[in-house]
Formats: sequence, C-alpha cells, structure tokens
Amino acid sequence: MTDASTIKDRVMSIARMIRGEFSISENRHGRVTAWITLADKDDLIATCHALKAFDARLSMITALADRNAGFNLLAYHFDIEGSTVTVKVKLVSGASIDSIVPIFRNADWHEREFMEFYDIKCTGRTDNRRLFLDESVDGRVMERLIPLSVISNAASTNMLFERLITDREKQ
Amino acid sequence: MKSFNMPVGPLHVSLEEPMYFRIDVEGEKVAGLEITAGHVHRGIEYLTAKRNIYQNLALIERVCSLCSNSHPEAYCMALETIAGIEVPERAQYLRVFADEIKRVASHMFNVAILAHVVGFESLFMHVMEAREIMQDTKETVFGNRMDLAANIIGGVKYDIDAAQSAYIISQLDRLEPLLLNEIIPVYETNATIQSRTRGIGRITREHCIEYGLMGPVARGAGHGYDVRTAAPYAVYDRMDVEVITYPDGDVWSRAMVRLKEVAASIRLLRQCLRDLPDGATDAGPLPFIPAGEAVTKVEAPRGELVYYVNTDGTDIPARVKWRVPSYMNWDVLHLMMVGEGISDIPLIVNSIDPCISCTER
Repeated sequence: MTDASTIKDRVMSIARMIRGEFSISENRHGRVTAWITLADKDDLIATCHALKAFDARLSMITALADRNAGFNLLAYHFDIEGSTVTVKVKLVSGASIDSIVPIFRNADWHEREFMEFYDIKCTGRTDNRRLFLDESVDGRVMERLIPLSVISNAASTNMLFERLITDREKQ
Repeated sequence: MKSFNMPVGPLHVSLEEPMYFRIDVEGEKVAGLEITAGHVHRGIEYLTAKRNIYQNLALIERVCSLCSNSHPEAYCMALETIAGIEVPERAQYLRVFADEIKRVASHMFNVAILAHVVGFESLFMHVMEAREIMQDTKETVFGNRMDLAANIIGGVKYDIDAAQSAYIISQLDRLEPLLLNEIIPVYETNATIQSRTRGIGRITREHCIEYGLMGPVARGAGHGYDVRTAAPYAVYDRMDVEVITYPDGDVWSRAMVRLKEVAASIRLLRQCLRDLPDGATDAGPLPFIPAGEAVTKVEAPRGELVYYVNTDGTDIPARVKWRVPSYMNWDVLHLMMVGEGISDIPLIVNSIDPCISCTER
C-alpha cells in the first residue's frame, strides 16, 4: 500500500501541471481526498493520462445540472489505492467534452449515461446509443422539471381522492 | 459452421430480472454479444432531488434489496463528511455488523442460484435453507429480512442487547458448521459443480484492472481490492478482514470467493459482538447538513459502491449520484462469454452476481 504522502505528492504534481483550483485532505485512516477543478476543459485528457500513469482507476462520472449557474459540471472520480481524486470540468450548456474511453475503458457507460440525461455531448465515441430510456422519451431528463405526480403516474392517487369525495357526498 | 443471432432475455437468464442479450453464435459457441439495458429504469437519482435529505434515506435503501444496507450507509457517510459529524464508536460497530450480515445472505443467495442453474436442486435447497438462518436472524434483530433500515445520519437506529447477542451467536453456531463442513466441501469437490464451473468464463487479473472490475468478480481473478482494507470506513481498520482471492478467474473461483467470504463474514460478526463497546448509537436527531460535497465508498456484497453527494444548505440535496459494482461487471461479459457454450450463458451471467435493480437505478 502506497502511503498517503506519496499519493499526495503524485496528486499535487498533477495539480501543478494544469490550471485550475485544487484542494486536498487526509482522513484518520490515512486516505487522501483531492478535488481538482480544471480551468480549461481541454486539459481533461492530459489530466486523465497523468492519473493513469499513477495507476488511478476511474470510479464514476457525475454530471450536475445547470442550476442557473450558466454551466453544467462533470465530476470524474478516480481511486488510487483507496484514495479519491475528483476532477471537475465546467461546461456551458450544449457544449461537448472529449471521451476518456481510450484511457479508461470503463468510462463508456458513464459517458452514455450523462449524454442521455443531460445536455452534454461527448466527442470521439463510436457508440452513442441511449443506455436506459427509450428513444420516445424526451432527452436530458435530469435537467428538466418533471412533476412528481407525472413520474409516479398518480392515477391511483386521483382514484383515491375521487372515491373519498364520492363517499363523503353519499353521507 | 453456421452462424446466427440468438436473443437471450430480457427475462429468464438465471434470475427473473430483465436484461437483454443479443448473442452471436457460431455452432454452439458464443462469438459475440450485445447488452441492452433499460427495461426497468426507475429514475431514483432524479427522485432524490424531489425529496429532502432525511426522506432520501428511505428511498435509497430501496435501490436494491441484496445490498440494501450498503446504499444508505454510503449516503450517510457522505452527509456525515459534509457536516463533520462524528459517528459514535458503538454505532460504527453496529454498521459493520449490518454490513456483514447482509454480505452473508447475499453471497449465499448467489451460490445457491449457481447450484440451481447447474441443476443440482438438492444443493440449491440446502444452501437456501442454511441461508434462512441468517434471514431469520435479520428479521429478529432488525424487524425485517431484507431492508434493515439500520442507518441514520450520524449512526444507527438499532441496538443489540445481551439477550440478542446470545441469540445471534447461537444462530451463527448453527450456520457455521453447515457452511464449513457441508456446503463449502460440496462446491470444492463435487464432480457436477466442478465440471460445469471450472475453466468457464475466465478472465485475468489484467482484465480486472483494464475493465475496473471490483468485488468477488475481481478477487476471483486474483485482483485483491477490497474497500474494507483499501479505504477503511466505520471500524474496519480494527477488524480482522480477510481479503480472499482465487487465481483462476473462472465461474468456480468467483463462487469460492463468495463462499469463503461468507465464512470470513461470520467471523467478523462474532468479532463485532465480542468487541462492541458501550455508548450512544447515534449523534443526535436530524442534524443540519450545510453546503458541501463528498465522495464515499463502501464494500457492498458485489464490490465497491461509490456515492457522491452535493448539498447546498437546503433540505433538498443538489445531487446524489452513485455507481454500483455491477455497472462495470456487465462489460466484462464480453470477455467471459466469447468462446463458451450456449448452455454456459446463465452460469456466466450468474457468476458476476448481476444486480439489475442497482444498474437500473
């Protein structure tokens, strides 16, 4: 197991290489948590190559919706021997980001998922099919307001209230 | 040799959960496959943005039944990190206890299904009957056989007193000899199990790294990553966690890892009960969660489960995202299946212990 100071040094060497914001902390078990926010989305590939050189593994990609901030956010979470490095990229609505599948094969489903649920495009991919929802469903569902009653198909709730009203009128 | 395409699924592949495979077949051998998900996508991540932080705890426990404790645990850990909440020591032991009792039941279910797919129905019944000991234990301790509702933000909402502890130990004393003296030896030596599972669906340690595989699938190919030791949480740093690996990367190895992990989990359950300290079981009611973000990971029965939680200081989380271990394991079916016989498809699918509820969150 690589010690925390070595992992810190590795992550800080990446942070020095790119422009952006950076923070790092260590928990009581000696595992590091680092956050890197890239100033330029085009630095993503170089950052991924640098992480790969340190045997990082892609854990997950999270997309966050544009909540009146003027941009979507992509957070790429990596694991290095139990420590966590998150690389964030800001994207204006409708912008595209380079695929990291050539570097991290397991990014494939994550990229298909955020392309499906958000207004984010991914370039350099061969398979851009939806992963979960049928083509008949409108896209970028995570960025749209969908009333809970629509999601849960509240027919049964209406039936319940109608029955209650009918019963009350009978009394 | 005649080539054709064969649809498998969405139902009837080992488990009655839907996943569709279009298999390219040459003669009786698999030449390639295409996986299509999306039959039961429930939009739970979207729903988390419609509920408050505390309501989400109940929702998230329902992502999956077999690893239902791992989801709220990782979610609570993320919120505790954001809010700087110290979970009492007793609660951390109780979290480990809930984790391990779920691992026992989950792994035993998977190896039982293996016996069912092979056609060894008496073994299937025997393993499921032994598993009932743990199911009964969960029902007695937690009031439920699957969704334990053990975790709250800042601790747990169950406790174990001396009488319950004695009962649990008596249950473990019933299960352990069945496992060690009867069940594991059958999987290790029985000719039917061996002939159907050894050398089938092979992957290597290098494949595990390339595909980002986790859990018993990776450990069955010699890749010994386990969150409990790689990134300890709760009190796993004080527990005698055994990372069990097998080198061959086949269906049998994955089953053996699970069986040996059941035995190891039973030992961890005993250790929890032995070392359980006195004290509070939570850090207080309904803690305020400030704005922040955190990434947490736990070792679910199927491997590493990762949570990202982003809060903005309101009751509603800005984003809750998780990645389940099955998410990567689907991809490696391309490697495991090609060159194998059609009759081995259900065995190989079952060997990754696929969780469609988790995948189709």
